[in-house]
Amino acid sequence: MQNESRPTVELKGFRDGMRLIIDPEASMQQIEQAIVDRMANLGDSLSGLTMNMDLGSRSLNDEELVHLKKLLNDDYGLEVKQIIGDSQDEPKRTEEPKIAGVPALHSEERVYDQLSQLNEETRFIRQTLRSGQIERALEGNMVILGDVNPGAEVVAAGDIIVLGALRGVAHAGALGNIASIIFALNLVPTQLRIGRFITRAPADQQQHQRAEVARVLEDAIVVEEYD
Amino acid sequence: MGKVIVVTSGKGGVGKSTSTANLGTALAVLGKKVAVVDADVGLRNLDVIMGLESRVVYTSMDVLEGVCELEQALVKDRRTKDLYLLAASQKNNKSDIQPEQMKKLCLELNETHDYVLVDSPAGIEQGFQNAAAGAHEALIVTTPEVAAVRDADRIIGLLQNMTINNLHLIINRLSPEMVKTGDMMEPTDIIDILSINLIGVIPEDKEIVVSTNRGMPTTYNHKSDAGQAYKRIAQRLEGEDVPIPEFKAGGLFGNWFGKLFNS
Repeated sequence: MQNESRPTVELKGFRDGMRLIIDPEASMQQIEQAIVDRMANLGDSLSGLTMNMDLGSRSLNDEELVHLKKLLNDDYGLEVKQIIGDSQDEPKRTEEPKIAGVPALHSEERVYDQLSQLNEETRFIRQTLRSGQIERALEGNMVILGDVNPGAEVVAAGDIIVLGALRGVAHAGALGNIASIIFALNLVPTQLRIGRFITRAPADQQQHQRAEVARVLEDAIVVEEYD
Repeated sequence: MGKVIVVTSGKGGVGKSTSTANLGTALAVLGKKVAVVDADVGLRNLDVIMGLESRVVYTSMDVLEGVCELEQALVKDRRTKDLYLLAASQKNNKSDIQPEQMKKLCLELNETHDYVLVDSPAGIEQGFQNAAAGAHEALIVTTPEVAAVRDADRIIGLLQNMTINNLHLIINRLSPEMVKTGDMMEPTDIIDILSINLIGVIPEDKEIVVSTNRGMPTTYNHKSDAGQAYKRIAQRLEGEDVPIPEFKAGGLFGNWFGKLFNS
């Protein structure tokens, strides 16, 4: 019933990190295609991160698991840390740690509640991010008390608030939430990304005296004065 | 006991070695006992810039390998009282020295000198890590170019990670004419991004090329704007309140930067 509205694969942020939630009813082929579709717009923004794979009630054999992990790792640079599921009927469970040292979680640890989505965590950073630094908040929002310099990058699953100058790259709604916003007291970014949308600064960018906010409106990122 | 100061920039060619040579000389002229250390193993040139190349016998590598004593490896600059150079080995690689060894050398020099200036190689790899290992403070050299400022920003982040928090900025090769026409970054723009203390601005000066080729630091040249600017930085390092003059097309006027320096 609820499954009808649920996509084949879903990326969500949780307290223990990012999860790829896979529809238990889908075939391997559907899963693969859905992963390719889901990742298509994210570029390499998730590269180098670890995630957990939530299989729900389904069971996958070793070969299938290895195949999916390889796909995620080779094409998107994502490392699967843990397999989460509740398939009690599955004899594989006991053998699972054998697969590339992946420990299995118990079914009680599954967190499917929508609450964790509404009650997102916010990460505070009280320093200026300098060139080469990248900070992520894939469990929620990010607030920076300082500047984000050119060459620095901030990525958040939710909103990004910069109480300073945003001169580098910011990616809000990095897991796909295009309702996310980017706010800065001085918004002069190299590039802005919200969900799958990307925009770069105009060539004749001038300093603004007022705070500005970027959001997605009709399939494009627009920047408005904040008031 | 003095201070160990690493002179670094990230980007190459912005004037680290020139700044090290000139500040070392200027501090020695002020009566301080100074050791300048070339940390650019394999691509040494501080000895050339200071005109001491022909007198280098031992290098820091020889000290570390026990070939000679630290004292023996120090080349005395005869033009000034109490200025010494510890040269880098030309035949080794940067990976032949470990940060711990470099730190030990710097701290040993620190026992007997007022200032130990370490000339860092470009980059953020081991050469830089070695140069910064024993430093209490850092002088960040940048030119008014976007790429140089970007690299300086990266270096500042790395230094802060190494808990070197006493950082001073030198803006080198500022061309007043180009700032006036809007073709060059202004010092205020640079400070806005890097947000560290500005300790001096060195104007573009053709004398620098002549002096580095001859191995005679511009600090000795009373007519050189750059040489005089280095002298003022040395005074500021010594805690003197010397305002930073504003460099305008055609000469020196005012001291608008004084307020930046004090802030």
